[in-house]
Amino acid sequence: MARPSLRSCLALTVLGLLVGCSGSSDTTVSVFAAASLSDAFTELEAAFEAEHPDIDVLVNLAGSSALAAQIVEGAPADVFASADEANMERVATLLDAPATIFATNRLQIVTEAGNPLGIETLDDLSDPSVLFVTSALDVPIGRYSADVLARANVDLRPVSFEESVKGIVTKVRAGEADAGIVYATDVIAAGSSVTGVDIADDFQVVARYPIARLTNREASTTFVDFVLSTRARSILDDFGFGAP
Amino acid sequence: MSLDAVMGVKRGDFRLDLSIHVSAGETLAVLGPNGAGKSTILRCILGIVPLESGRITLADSVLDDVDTDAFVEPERRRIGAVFQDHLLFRHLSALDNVAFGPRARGEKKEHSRLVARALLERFEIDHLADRFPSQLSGGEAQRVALARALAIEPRALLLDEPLAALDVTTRRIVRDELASFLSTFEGPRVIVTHDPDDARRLADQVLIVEHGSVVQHGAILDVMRSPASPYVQALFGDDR
Amino acid sequence: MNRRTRTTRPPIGIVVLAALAVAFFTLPFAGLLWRAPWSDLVDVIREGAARQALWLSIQTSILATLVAVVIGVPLAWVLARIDFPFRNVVRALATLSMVLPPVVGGVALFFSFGRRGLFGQYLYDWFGIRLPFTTAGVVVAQAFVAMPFLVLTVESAFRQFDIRYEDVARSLGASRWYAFRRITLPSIRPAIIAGLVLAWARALGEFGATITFAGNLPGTTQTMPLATYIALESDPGAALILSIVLIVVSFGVLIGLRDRWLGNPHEVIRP
Repeated sequence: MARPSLRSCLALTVLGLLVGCSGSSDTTVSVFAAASLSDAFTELEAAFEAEHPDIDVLVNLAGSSALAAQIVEGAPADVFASADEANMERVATLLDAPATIFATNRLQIVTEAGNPLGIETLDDLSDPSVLFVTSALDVPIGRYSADVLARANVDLRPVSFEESVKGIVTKVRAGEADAGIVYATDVIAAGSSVTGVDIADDFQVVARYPIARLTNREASTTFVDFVLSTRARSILDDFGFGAP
Repeated sequence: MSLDAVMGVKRGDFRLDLSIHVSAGETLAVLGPNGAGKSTILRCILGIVPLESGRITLADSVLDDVDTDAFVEPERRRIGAVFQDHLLFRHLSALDNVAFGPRARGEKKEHSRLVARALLERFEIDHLADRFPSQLSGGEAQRVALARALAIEPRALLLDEPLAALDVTTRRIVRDELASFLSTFEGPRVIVTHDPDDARRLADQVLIVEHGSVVQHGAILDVMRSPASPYVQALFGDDR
Repeated sequence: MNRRTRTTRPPIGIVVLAALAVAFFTLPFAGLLWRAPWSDLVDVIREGAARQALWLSIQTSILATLVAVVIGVPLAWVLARIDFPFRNVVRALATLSMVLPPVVGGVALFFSFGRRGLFGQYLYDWFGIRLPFTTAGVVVAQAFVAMPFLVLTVESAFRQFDIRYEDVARSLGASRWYAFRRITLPSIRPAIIAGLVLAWARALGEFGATITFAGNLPGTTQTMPLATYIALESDPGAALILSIVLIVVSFGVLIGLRDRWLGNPHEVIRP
């Protein structure tokens, strides 16, 4: 027929959509990384791709528990970088090689720029007028915060459990929440829009970040090796991460 | 208790400018081509469309006077109206349709329903009381519509193409019923129609409106004998 | 089969496509039911968080729908009956939240009605009213995304309503308000119900705007969708159970809608 029928147009569209959804090719690496690694891994991605122009790194950033859940359900990740060992444990049976700790992080109290409420200790957070936000317990920062608060014997009631550490930062820097507990790296990343308050060493916990590969492709190994290299070490250092 | 109206109102792309006078017990038929402004006349008398110039009075009460800025809302005018497609409220039974007027005016439900039933009996359609408009035939619906208009004891009666939607046979029957009913109604009546048979059977006076102004006015026989425009001639032509 | 029966049977092509549509809607639920850990059902439901979330969802969605009706129906009326300048702009604004991703709506609410928001700061400084992290904030977020559904449905109904019925009512002695109450509203009742149900369903399922604007706190702001999402990260089995609970409740309400509420009452379809 001279005019294409509606039916044939529809068929072509469906075909086109299906073709578009192809799997990863040999030159891409799919990296699932914890939210607190956002800025650092963007930099790492750029540095890696400069050294390996033939490999394209795709980074998926979210709360570590969300990422672990996705991997368990079969999401096609090549590498997983978690903010705590518990979430790495969840995917232990799917790893191609054991995980290695590649960075550490300390916790800090974060407040609005200028710390208008004058919060200085963990105890100050228990004041009922202070709007404190944390994250769900399965998100690493949630568990770390709970540990810290338990050590300091501070009892408080959060007003919200955010999905990731970045969510806490967002609410605090916007002035919606008065305070939260986040990673020191997040405070650095947020710059002048927030103020960080140190937590006493007695109560401090060290967050340990493991990285592991889930597939045995060469590109996966190359990327993990890079993250463990001295070059990556100095980049992570710039963002405030501690040595493994 | 006569109805007097001098009306000026803008209507779409032309202006309606005319005056009418209907005495008590008299029926005026308003005829004219489609779009002449006939229905607008009724809407002004009802108060749905305010005048831009002129004055409408019914008996002693001023319903609309542009010069003195007097205006009576439609719900206080007590003028009954019947429309071409009956416009019965679809979610109410025939009885409740007729009872609507009294209820809206503050009467209790039971009393309103009594009044309604009496009216339906008068028109011998009380067996339709519990039916809904979608279950009535065209002729039955128009009778209910008339009963509904009368339930408020109107001082005047306006009918807008009341028979147009009926088939030929029903139209003749209802027209005869209407004629006999009108002879018992005391107030002035205005009936808008395009059908010369309606005018002949029901009206005393005739007003021909074309394009917003009066083309001819007078007793029906006079108009028939000396038509003032081609339209009027065509209307009554085959009678000469 | 002869030509006689073929004429009255529905066309086969339409039936096939319709069956495809039914499959499209049913299969995801089948998958859910198949994977659900039925043995955990009682435990999850007995655990307070699930009941809390469900109760909160029901309360807030009903409140949000009420808000939508109280201010949405008048808006629909104005849009349908009054010809004012920039009417199209107003209508577009009122329905904008329907096409935007909910998170965008949440962000907008955040920066306008948050404690430091453009308007929220005055609410907070002058009246001590805070919306984020409160149940009221949840209702606001839900109403924000749900109202367009009601407004559009009801506006369309007002437009289609023959205004001459109101004229008749007034000639019989009804005031404008009485005519509106007794004649107009009952006549468009199917549209109002449809709009109500759409708005309520949208409010019940609202997630993005809620978590961005109101936060996530069990008992206060953690609605069923939020609880389900959070559970998905740690305990997919619980998430499945929560999903099923929400589906059962919604399905129950929708199935309870009688045909006659959605069609015109006393209408004879085939005489």
